[in-house]
Amino acid sequence: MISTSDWLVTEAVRIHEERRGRRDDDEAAMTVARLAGGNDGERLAARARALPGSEKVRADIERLRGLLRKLLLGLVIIGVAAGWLAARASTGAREIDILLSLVTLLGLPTLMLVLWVLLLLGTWRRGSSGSLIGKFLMTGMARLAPRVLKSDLASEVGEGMVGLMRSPVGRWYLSMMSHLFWMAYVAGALLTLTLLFSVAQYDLSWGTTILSEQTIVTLVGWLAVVPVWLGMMAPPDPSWIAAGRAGELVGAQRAIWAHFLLAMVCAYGAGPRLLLGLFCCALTWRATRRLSLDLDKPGYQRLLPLLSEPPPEPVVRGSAPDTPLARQRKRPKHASGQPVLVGIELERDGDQWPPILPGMDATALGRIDTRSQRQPLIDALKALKTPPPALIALCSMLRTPDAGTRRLLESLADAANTELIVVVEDSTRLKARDGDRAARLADWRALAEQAGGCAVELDAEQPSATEIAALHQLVAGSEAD
Amino acid sequence: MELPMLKIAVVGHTNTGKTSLVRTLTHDRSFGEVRDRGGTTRQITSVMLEVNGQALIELNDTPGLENAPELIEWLDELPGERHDGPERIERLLRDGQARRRFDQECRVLELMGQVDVGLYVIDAREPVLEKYLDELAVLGRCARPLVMVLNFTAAADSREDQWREALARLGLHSVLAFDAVVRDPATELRLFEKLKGLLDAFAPTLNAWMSEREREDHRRQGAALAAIADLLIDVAACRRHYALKNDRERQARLEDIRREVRRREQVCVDVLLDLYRFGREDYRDEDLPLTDGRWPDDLFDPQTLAHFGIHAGKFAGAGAGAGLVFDISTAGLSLGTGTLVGTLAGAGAGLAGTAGKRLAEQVRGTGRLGVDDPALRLLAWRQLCLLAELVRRGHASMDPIRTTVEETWKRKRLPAPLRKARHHPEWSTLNRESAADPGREAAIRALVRSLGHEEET
Repeated sequence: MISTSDWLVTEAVRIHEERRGRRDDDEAAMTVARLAGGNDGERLAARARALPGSEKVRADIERLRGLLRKLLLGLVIIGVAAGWLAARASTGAREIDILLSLVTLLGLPTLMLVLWVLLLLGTWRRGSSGSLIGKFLMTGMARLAPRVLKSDLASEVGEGMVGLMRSPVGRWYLSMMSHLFWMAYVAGALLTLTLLFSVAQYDLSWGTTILSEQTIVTLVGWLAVVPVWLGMMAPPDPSWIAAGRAGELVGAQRAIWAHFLLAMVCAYGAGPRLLLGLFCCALTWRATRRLSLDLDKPGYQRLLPLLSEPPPEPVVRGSAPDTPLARQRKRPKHASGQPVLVGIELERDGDQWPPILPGMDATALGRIDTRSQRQPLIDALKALKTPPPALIALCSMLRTPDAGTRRLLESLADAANTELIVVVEDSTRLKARDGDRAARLADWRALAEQAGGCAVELDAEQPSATEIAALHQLVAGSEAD
Repeated sequence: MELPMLKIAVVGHTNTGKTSLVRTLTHDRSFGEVRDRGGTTRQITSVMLEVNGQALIELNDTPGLENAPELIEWLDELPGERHDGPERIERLLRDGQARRRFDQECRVLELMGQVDVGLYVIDAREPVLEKYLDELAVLGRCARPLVMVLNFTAAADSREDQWREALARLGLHSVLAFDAVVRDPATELRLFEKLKGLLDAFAPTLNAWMSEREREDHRRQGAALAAIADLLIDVAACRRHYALKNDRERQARLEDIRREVRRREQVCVDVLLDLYRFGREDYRDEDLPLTDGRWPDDLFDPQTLAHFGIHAGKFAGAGAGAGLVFDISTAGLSLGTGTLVGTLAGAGAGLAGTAGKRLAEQVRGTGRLGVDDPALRLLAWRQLCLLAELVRRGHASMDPIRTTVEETWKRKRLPAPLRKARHHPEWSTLNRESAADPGREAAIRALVRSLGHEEET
């Protein structure tokens, strides 16, 4: 549930932010709202309330409410005055035509009642209150609000108020006001009539020019049904009604006819308005309880994810794994012959093997792509009479170095019992797929170090002089040991 | 009803984009750490997907498998029943020495025993190496359903076909191309549909999650369109008055309009970015058509029109020097016959009022400035482009904005609510005379409907 005042503050802030941009000083308010909890609407309201300057907005809303109350008081006074005028008009002469004066007193209110029902039903979907007074109040609000309000959000508060008036709350509230106005009218009329009937003598009668007298008697009889039912008067006797015919009035019946007139105004003027007024009052109360923000508005949608409870933080399980220690590998003194070359999970096709290492002779021992190729190669390395000066493992930069490859390199180097040099190729292709060459090379270097070797880059397609020199230096440099 | 929670493990070789996949599924751009390097994720990270506070899906991001070839040999060498995979995995997990040797792998396998399904992520650019098949064989021993997720299928060197064939040979037929870079919105849905087919018991859970996503997307998109409509109404109804013979004042008002409209557009852009949760720091990463959260090209620069393929029209520059701001008074009926005809149909009584007002202004010697149609088109079109991009990046289930909409905004007559707004200066919050008017609300609703409708057709 959200109070109307909170609703207005929140709406005013939304309207402002949708047009002028989100405030940048709302950090504290956001925190307050997040801590406030509750449903989405309540959190939005909490944020709006906590924004700097919101007291002024609330003061404005109070001011606007005061204004509304004054307008209402004015309406009631106008209503009473109108009732007084109508009563005066219907009692212009000392001889009162009952039927005519009934039309004068009740015609306009009844017409407006019918109009209200029609407008309410006809414009239900547009949120209209169906009352002209509601329209008048709404326009008055929209025009007056920016002039009388003092906060920075004055016009937004006015707009919010108009929005509220167009919501069910406003619809029933304004309807209630319109019934109140007409009740004031009837009260004014009744008061005036009672006063006049008390202090002056009127002759009340009825007449007809074209209808038969019996018709009128029946009509009066029917009209009296409701007041009689309400206990406001005794059931009319046809002879008594007939006695009211103009020109035949007997003094004692004046009071009865005056009583009849008052009962009619009461039953047909005040009755429906009172009932509907209470009904609308109940509906207003219900709508107020159900008042909610339209969360689909962009101004709310943008905030909701930020105000809602943050999603549960990801939970990290287990401890970080240990980084394998780097091993030391040295070329044995008695190493001789050519370096040995193996290929691991290469991108090359079969006819591109063995590769040519520029300016270097190496014994290409074979490639390893599957498990079954591992053992024969390890056996072949073990079978070498003397350890080779270096084991060159050709790898592809397209592969992400992994522990499996490290273990393989280790077992190969162990079998060869010599130094390990990892040569990585395919840097051009890595670049072609937007890969980060430097990072990948660093990863391979790290892997080679863990396996006790070192890594160099050598692009088979475009080997650069520095790359070749680096490889030569590695092979030769270690030979000098 | 309490829905059963679905536990998912995202597994795969190192550096295949597991964390990216989790990010995409959680719609959380800040989840985990994503780098093009192996071993970026070193521990299992669990995240919950919740709806109304109820955890529906647990996603587990795992470190990559790295040493499956040796592991499978170790498993194969175990004595006992060869075909009882879970039993062998149990023995592996109980063996302290093996646990140290296959640390990463054991963590993943232990998790596999606790989840309902595994998503095996494959870098489709990689050749079908035996080590990957070894991983699948090891994972297969956990007795959990596996869905193959082919990442990087949009890359030039993708080997999707080879992978599909190899997987089929292994009897793995639940395969889905899910490119984390392209992030086709529909694939997320397809993945969940696939899981639903595989895991009957969790169909209600997956349905709840998918419908929540859909509801959220729908809401967000409605709000975005409302924000754009609000901007368009504000700009279409924007007016500035000046004394006819005072050129200085006219220039000042022109600049005023431009400034106000630019500011107003930025407000709308900010709303859109907020709605799709793009923090201000994300722009560069996500390469939206913005620079630092702003449209780089000025709205009132004719070049920008050309860039967006909008015909400048015959009214541009009617009031020389006005650029895309036009002068209603000097250009006579520069609203154009199209607008006038539209007004007769759409605005009805509004026309008489404005025509009268215009005449009165001529007599009084005041001129009026407004924003021209092409600028409105541009304004509408580029916000729609941004929205389409955000929707795509945000993986919402919305078809990208179609060419029919492009047609409308670039060539056809402006929608009726905008034409009507031309005659209601009080609708524009950029004007001093702006006032709350139910007609404005109605126009925005109509405009949203027409924007939304066009997107559906």
